[in-house]
Amino acid sequence: MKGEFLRAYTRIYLELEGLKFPEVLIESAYSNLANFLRDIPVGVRRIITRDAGKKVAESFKNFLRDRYKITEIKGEEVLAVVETFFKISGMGDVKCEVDGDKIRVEVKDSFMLRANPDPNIALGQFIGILEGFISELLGKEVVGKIEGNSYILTIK
Amino acid sequence: MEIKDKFSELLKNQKLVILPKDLIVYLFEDSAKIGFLSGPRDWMAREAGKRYAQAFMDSVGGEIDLGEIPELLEKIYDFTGMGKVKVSINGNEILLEFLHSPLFKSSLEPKEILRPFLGVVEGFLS
Repeated sequence: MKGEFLRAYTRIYLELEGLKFPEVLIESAYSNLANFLRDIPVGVRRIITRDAGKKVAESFKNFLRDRYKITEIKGEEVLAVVETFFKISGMGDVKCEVDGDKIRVEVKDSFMLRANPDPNIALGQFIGILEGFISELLGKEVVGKIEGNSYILTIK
Repeated sequence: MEIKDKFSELLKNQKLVILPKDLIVYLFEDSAKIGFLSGPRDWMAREAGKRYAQAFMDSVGGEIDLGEIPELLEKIYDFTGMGKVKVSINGNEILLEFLHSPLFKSSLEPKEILRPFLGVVEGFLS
């Protein structure tokens, strides 16, 4: 049940704290960035973005605590939050699954996939943000890689 | 067609991406700290601004007068949540003054945190 509430709260958070951009603008900027940085290893790119992902999760956790007295998000609930974040933000449709210490975030549809035919390039700009976001929500570090159209995040 | 109608038309035809303010602020801060090259960044921003302008022109099916630019920019900034801006035209210069913006919560100086968006406006107006 809490997962359903978290989906609703995630939507409210984005409505209150989000900046709205036309998809065409974000897609163009994302695509140019992805292709410009294509030869830079994912590990280097994530240095820039991981911290930003953590800051967003921190802000989201503060929002949940201050407005809804929610102080903890458990493993399965993180999946509901991530799926809703992608969907409501317009970043795309994803399906999340947990398998042991791994979280698979499969990107079903997103403008990111249009950036480049190679998923490593197309999805690579976002992996640090996702790692940082999930690490901060879980309170445990996760490290990710890209397999096909999926992010595979391992909980350390 | 009045500018507010043109803007409504644009919104009707656009998918939106909603990004948390903190994500924008910290991405810009971190990329500035590691010294991401301003040349490529400005080029990417300009291209994105041009794409947005093309979508806008397609949605209203025509041209826009220079005199309509201030109201249009003010509406766009207000809608996105990027801040309240006051836009004026003085000869061949367009002045875009930020009255407030969520980006100002950054630890960077306003001219540094606003810089990545200059290219977007340049491209859009071009």
